[in-house]
Amino acid sequence: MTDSFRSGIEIAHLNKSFGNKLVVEDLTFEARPGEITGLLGRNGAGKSTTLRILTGLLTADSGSALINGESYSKHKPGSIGVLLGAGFPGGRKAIDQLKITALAYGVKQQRVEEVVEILELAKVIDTRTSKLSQGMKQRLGIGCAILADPDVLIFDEPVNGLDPDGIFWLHNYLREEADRGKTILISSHYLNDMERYVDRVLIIQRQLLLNEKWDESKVGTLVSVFNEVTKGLTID
Amino acid sequence: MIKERVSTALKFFRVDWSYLSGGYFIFQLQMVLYVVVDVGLLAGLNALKVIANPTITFERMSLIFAFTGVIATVTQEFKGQYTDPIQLLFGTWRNRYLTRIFTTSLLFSLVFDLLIVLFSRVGESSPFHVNLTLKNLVGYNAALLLIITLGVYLAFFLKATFLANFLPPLVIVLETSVGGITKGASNKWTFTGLFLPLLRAQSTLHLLAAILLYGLAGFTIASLLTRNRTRIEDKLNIQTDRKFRFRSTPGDSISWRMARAIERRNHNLGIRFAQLFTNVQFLRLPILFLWIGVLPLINNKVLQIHAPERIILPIIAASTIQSILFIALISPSILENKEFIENELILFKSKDAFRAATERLWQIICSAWGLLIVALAVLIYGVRGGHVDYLFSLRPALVATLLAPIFVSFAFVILRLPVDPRFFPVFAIVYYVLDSVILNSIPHVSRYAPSGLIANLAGGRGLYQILMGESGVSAPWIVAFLALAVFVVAGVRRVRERSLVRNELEASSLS
Repeated sequence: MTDSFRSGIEIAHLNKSFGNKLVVEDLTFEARPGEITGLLGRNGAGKSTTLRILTGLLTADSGSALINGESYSKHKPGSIGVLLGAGFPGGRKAIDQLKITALAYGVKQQRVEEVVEILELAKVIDTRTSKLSQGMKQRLGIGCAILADPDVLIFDEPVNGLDPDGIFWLHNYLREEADRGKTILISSHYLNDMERYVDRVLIIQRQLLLNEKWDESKVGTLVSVFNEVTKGLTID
Repeated sequence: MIKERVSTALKFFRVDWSYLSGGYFIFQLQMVLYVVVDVGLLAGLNALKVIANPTITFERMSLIFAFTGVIATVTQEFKGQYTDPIQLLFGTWRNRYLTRIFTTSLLFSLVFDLLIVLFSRVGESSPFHVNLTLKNLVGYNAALLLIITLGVYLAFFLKATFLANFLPPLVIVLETSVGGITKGASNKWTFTGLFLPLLRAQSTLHLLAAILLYGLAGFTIASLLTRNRTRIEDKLNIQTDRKFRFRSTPGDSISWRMARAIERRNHNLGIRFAQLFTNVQFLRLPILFLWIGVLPLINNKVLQIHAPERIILPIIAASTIQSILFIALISPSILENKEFIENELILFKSKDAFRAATERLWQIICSAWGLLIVALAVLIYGVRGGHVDYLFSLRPALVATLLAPIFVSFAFVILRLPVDPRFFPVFAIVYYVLDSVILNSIPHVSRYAPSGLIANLAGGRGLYQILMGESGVSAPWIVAFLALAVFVVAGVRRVRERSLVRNELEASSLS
């Protein structure tokens, strides 16, 4: 742990390019404990790249991406819940996916059963993931992410494929976890959905364009805010 | 103008160039190389009277590889994300079948006919010589079209099931073993034996009658299958589920118990073990191993050489190591699909930890595989009534077991190159061609080919050293070979460790 320890997620002067293409440019923002922070941007704006740098899957060209003051690799496995798409090996059963995650995170069988119940996965638990619907895969991905009851949640497009019940459950879950003081960073394209539960909105297009506290009084305006902020900007 | 006319003609004949591009062609190239190399090898073995009765001609080998190639590639189209776009593109199932059949037939005809013409020009004494007549060529192409039609239909129905994985190696094993071992008229009882009336028609009239008969039969079967597609698919799926069901309680399975035991000693290795062994695609890999890994043994006919185990076992050890390179280049990239690899990786602290655990696990798997193959060879030799010298058998067994990790490391060095994963098998092909075709065909050089050196390490001579009448390599060469291998692997390890340290420093500087 460094002297400049701060809790939450801290992205500072982050730069990342693929070949000649600059994807993230001097990006700086924070996601604070107790808040649900929504990361918004168009396709190719650098959202997923930022989340992948944050979780150690990509290396930044420069800058820092820290979680509770440290890089992802310094944290105990499972203490950060990550959902980066719901791709699983098609030949693996849902239960095995959860059990592998439990083994990696040192989580007991009882917690696996709890998560199966919470996410209503019991009916498909012995099904291979290739046969699961997109929504069920998403539930499984969320289940793996929350298995070790992490302090920080980093979700990329969590409502993809979820049915209305699933979305409703997710909203409530995220609110409860934020109220427990957890740090939550969500990336999504679904503006109408996101404006209902986020506490802070970040709009990026390589760089940070907007960082604004969000509350119920602003519900219904995120689309216009987004359009206004990103007006005239193009993706390379 | 010409381009437009060609495009119109291709559409009329239902040919889709996209099937002929990229990875598909590379995959077939591998098959063609196998055919060419194996025909030469069989002819060489025959000329030297090493084996009793090699019977597989170029035409029949190429038909087999056309069939297995179709099964292997068409079944992949049914992996969820591909099938719908392909179906939308073609509109109807009939169009899809026909386009696949005609495109594949055209590709194989072009490649194999060209080879047949080339081989007809070489002297009769050459192992590659083919007797070319118009009748033979027409009969061969008719057989090719029929066998591809059969392959396409079977592949569409079997899809990516266990049976689809099992069928190609089964056909190859039957063709090369039954066709090779039994004498006299046994040929007709092999898979390609079904097409003998086309391949060996006595007259033009016979050939025309055969084409008519086979064409009618093929059309009838294809029509029936297309008409009853849904019903057959449903039945096949139900049977597949029932027949090839794995344990429904994975928590109690041996693989889970092993995973937990390994995890207690080595966390990352245990996680990776669990990731691989709970994936039914991995559990199907033994079939791929059989296909790729054991195929060289069967094709080389080493099990049929009437020679003592001192000759057989070192050759088997060398072939096994060669096939392990293939396996290590192909299997991990099959399993580590880009779509889900991040979810596998996220369970590890870093990418390097994941990669190290993956490599170590494949080293262990391939070592066990090498040992198993040599043990099987010893067992088969014993069952066939040969005297088994267990003390001698230890040496090839040890060579196969201990060299496997080095070759896996080589493979992983290649796997980390920034190239399209579809090109990884090309490296295996290059190695195969370099070892089996180039080095082993040059007098006085063949003794230094990797397969020869490995066989020497295992206490005997390589197959090509025997064929070329060359002596094995002396102890200093073997030591030099080993030292070089260890040096290269150690160098790779050092580079990787440096990269690990650098990443750590990078992570620290970020924090």
